[in-house]
Amino acid sequence: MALRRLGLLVRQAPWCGRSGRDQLDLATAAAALEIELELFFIGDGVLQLLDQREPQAAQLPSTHLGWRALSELTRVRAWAQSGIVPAPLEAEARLLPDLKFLDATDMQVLQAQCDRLLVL
Amino acid sequence: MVNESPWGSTLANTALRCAQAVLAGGHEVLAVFFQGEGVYNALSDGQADPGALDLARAWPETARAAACPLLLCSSACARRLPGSLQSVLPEPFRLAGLGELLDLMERADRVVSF
Repeated sequence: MALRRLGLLVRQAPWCGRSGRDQLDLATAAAALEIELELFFIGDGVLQLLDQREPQAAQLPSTHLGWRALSELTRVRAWAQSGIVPAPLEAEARLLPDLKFLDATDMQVLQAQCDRLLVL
Repeated sequence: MVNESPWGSTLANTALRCAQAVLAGGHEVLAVFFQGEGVYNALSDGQADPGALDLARAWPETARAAACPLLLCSSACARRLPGSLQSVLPEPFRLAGLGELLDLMERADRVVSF
């Protein structure tokens, strides 16, 4: 099956591991091959989308900015699971432009449209 | 695709059992790709708990019987394993890039990630 659209389920909170890049590496590799990306931030993964973070203060890398850079390489659509963070925090989830919040049912419809779906 | 280490959760164990069940069902496993913490599956347990499976031994046994490659993400290994260890990986583990993973995903009928 030709891999045109890859769905990635991001479920981990930021810096669950110190690297913060393992999930991004696969997304970046796919983007470099011009594979379209559908990013689904679910559960704790929604916290990845909070903007205005300063990881340098904790001596951690600013890898969260890599999510934003993916759209320079390929078409990216980003979806976040609604109801995970309080509404005021949803407004702070501005890391990715055009991010939309969906419930699980609507997410499943989009996930079914991906050629492949991976849980990260 | 295995994202978890042998110790952080039981998912790596589940992944092995799934691979074994798939093979026992007469299907082909194109490859097992270890990403992120999953690369630690290539390291043997110093002293395994009684009754616990040493995944670093169990994966090669399963893979050799099925001629299935065990691929370790090269960038994940570079972050986690010393260079001296990366150059002497126990067979049949070997380093592979994410491009190879994407190619396998195109060829496989199914991709299962743990």
